[in-house]
Amino acid sequence: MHTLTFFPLGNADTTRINLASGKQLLIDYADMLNRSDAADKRIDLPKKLRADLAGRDYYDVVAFTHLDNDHVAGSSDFFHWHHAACYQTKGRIKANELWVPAAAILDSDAKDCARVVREEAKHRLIQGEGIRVFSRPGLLKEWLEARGLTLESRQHLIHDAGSVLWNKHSDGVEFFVHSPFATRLDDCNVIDRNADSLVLHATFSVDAVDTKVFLGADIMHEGLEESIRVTRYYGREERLENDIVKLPHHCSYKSLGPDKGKDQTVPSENIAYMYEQKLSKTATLVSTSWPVPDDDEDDQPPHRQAKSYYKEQIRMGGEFIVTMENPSRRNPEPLVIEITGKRGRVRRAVLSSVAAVASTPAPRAG
Amino acid sequence: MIEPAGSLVIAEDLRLAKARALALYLASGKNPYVDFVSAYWEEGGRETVVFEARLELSQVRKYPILPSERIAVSFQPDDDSAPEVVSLREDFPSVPHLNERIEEFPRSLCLYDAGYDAVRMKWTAAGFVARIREWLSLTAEGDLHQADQPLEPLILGTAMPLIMPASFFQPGAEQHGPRSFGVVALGGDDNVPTAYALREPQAGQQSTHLATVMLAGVREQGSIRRTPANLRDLINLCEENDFRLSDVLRQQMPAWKDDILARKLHLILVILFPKVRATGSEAKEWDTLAFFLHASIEEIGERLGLWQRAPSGGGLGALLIGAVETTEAIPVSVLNPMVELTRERAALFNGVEAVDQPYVMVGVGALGSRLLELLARKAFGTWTLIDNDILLPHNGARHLLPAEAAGYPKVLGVRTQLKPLYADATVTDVLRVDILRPKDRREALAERLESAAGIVDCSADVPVARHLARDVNVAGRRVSVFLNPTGEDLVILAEDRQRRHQLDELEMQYYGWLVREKDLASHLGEMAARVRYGRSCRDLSAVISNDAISRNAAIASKVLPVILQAEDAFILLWRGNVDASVERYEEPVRRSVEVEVRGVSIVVSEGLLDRLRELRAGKLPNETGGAILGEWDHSRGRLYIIGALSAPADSKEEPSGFVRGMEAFADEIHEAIQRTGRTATYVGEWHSHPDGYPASPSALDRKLGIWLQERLQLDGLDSLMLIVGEASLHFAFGDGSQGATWKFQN
Repeated sequence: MHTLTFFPLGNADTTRINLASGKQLLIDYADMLNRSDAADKRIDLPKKLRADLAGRDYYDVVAFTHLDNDHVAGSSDFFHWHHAACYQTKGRIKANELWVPAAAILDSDAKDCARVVREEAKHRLIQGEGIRVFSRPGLLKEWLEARGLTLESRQHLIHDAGSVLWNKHSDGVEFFVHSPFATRLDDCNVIDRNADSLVLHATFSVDAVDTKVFLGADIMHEGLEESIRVTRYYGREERLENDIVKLPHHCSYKSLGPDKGKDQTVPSENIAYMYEQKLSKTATLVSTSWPVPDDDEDDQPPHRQAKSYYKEQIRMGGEFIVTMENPSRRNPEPLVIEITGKRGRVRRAVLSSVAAVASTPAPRAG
Repeated sequence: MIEPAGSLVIAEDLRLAKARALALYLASGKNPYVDFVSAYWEEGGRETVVFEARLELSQVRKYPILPSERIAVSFQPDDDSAPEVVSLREDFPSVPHLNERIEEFPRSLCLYDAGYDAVRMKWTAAGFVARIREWLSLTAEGDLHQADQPLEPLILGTAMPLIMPASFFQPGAEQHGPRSFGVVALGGDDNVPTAYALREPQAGQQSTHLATVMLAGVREQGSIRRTPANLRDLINLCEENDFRLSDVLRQQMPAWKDDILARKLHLILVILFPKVRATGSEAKEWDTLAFFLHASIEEIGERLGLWQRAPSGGGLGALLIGAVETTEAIPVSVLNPMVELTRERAALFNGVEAVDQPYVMVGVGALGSRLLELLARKAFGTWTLIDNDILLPHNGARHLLPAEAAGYPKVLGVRTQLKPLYADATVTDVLRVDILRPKDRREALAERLESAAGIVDCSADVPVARHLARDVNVAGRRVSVFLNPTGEDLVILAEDRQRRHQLDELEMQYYGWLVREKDLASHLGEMAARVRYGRSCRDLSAVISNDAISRNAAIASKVLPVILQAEDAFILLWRGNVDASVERYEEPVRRSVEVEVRGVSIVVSEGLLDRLRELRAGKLPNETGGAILGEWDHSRGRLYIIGALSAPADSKEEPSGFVRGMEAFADEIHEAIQRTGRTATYVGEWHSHPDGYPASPSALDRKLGIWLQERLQLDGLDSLMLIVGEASLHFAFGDGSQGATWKFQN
């Protein structure tokens, strides 16, 4: 059994993948909790992750899909980074391999945690180990040459869209790279983090049954539309099939189409193809976001029009889950999806009295 | 969504404790996967609580359960029956384990396999909700259905049983059309039957009903979900499943029309729906349904529009043109069809496989008869019983047969007693014969022993066991099962399959074990009190508790099938203690060595040879020796050596000779004889020779032999002298002039 875990962090992403083999991957890290606000229901991410690591001090892979704050917040306090001694204090969690899009290395605007991730990625790429960069091959040529390195010497660390990492039979999972892709970055000098973000399609295998997961990062409709078009062009239909979707950009209508719509967003052609033709009937759609409002007062996602579209796609037996509403708005908890030979299963165990009394010491008896 | 009955109330206004508890739990937030929706109150006090349950579901589902289901639970004011749990979804799938209802929707979930009395003791709202969520999750994955359950019985419920012979349907029989059976109403001291049973049709047999077994076409799974109210309804339900019941009845009825007796009978329809298990398995199963039609065959014919009854109630008139079918006027009850117990199914219920190999049991006394019954109930073996005794009144205290059977041969009584266990027989043959003196039944006896895979001796008689071991020349292995004199201890001596270790040898090793093993000292040593049951000298019966017999029969019944299917020989003993605990002992079986001296076969186990060599080695360079215990079988010219005692403390043990002392010598011999239940006797003496000397008797030994012979002749016995050397053992009788040497194998 593998597990996928999504954390209640408001409009922010952290996805953990625990493989049956024991390997653990973390995709994005966003510690969003306001520790001075007792009413903040977002989870204490570093505390939770440490508890779950249970003494282990590393992830096999830490991926940052892009450098926006809601995907990197707090990472410089949590991770052990190689490039500077101040990130090597005791108790930090190591990333055996760092995965970033090329944009993360080329991003000159990065501040705070984003800057630290960028510097770490640069450091590792120069060192030539512990990193994978997702990019059109030629894009980093100039950057590497400016540092006296050749593209050839780093080629094995760079993965273009359409390539596959790992093997579902030997590793239990394989990752297909949807984005970033060439047509986007070729003729664009300005980094658009969302558009250039790392979008992966994971295929898990258990007992010869595949479970397909779309990890949509914050990709917007233009980029998603194009990546689906290219994937269809190359006939890789299976990479558009999904059982579990981490909806892009916190259930924003902008990840479906250009117009919000009155009550429902109309997606662009290829996006509609993916959700309406390729989605499993019992799919689980995960919105990593605040609860979806019933009105349009807030321009920020999540958008009820997008939710309306997504819910329509899973009405025959699937489900739409918002991380900040799981299992309840009152007490959001991490959303754990088990992946077995019967594909995904959202874990919904009710706390028993024994588990409850065993989880904390009993109060003092007088 | 289906709207529950009653008027809406708020949760706080619910009056029934469980309904309130459920509503409050749902609203408490303690379970984040359920949401209270609404509550209803009905005239009569029934209350219903509606909630939404979010489930833990795999994406691959056998049945289309949704991640979120709307559930209604209805409570009765008297809380006498389980709260009814229904899905309010209009398209909730037909799944296994739904309750029978008059209407198909809403679907009613069958949550528990225990009765409500058991559930009620532990009922909590939290546990109830957990069970509902679990039921839905397991159902979705197809895991709720136990693998051995018939697939989705069309109609569950507490209908009256219809017990059918195993042969009520054979695949392929469908080509011959419906098959009819007689029916017997069972039970009913108040004239109300408690069950019906199908009987193979027999001439002149009185039936109250007629049953007909018919086969329906292949149906979609789970498509009949409700009880038919009347014949019209049943016909419709069958048609939905591609079975034209109406046509089948119309073809069948005319055959009964002219049978003046048959047409007065009520009709039971047994309909088989062929089914195929959904995934993976091609195994065909038959879903059997039975319906009791509350009308005579002649009324059914009339209602089908086949004929008209004369107003006087006499004959049946011709078919009227334009006759109207009025089958809705015939009420239908559902019966619960079940197949009678067969050996195969009995074994299944015992968690074993039926074994059909033929065995013979010699002696069906208290232990044998009780053991046989236990074996029969789990379908172990088919049995031929051999015993010459008749049952006497006192046997009724402990025997399988009641005292009422006194005066009849035991073998006949036991066969009769065990016959009704199953349709197929366990006791296939009996022979009333004295196995030691079969007289004119010698051939019949030989024939039965010849064909047995094993002979189980429960005679509790040494001559019989010895006869079976030595005189019966057939292939089947022999097993002796007997009790000690108090009846508290059980002994099983079992030959191996190849008969390398024969029963008499095992018996001697058992005695040798009793002599050596302190824990078993009183096993044969204690005698039971005796009660006289008749006037002849031998009309005495030991006082043995019925529970000891039952307990030991049960142990034997557990062990025997294992032993008889194994390859090896066994010496097993169970000691029953006063506090009702039981201890098991096992003696490893050793090979027996047989040496012939002067026409007598001397039999000794390698275990005893080892012991003699150990005693010798322990005293080297000195000689040592002691008494030998054994048992003579003069009729077969055999001397079994059971045990050897070590030298008395006042013996003179020197390198050049051995003088056996006397200290405690007689007491030890008596003690050993006692331990064997007085089977063993003193048969002579053994002594050792030092290394480098042959085991053959020296001049001194010959004098010793003569001295021994003079003394043993007091008992009319030959004296045995055993000499244990470094590499061999010498056996000699009398003065030692005639003897034989056995070379040690290692």
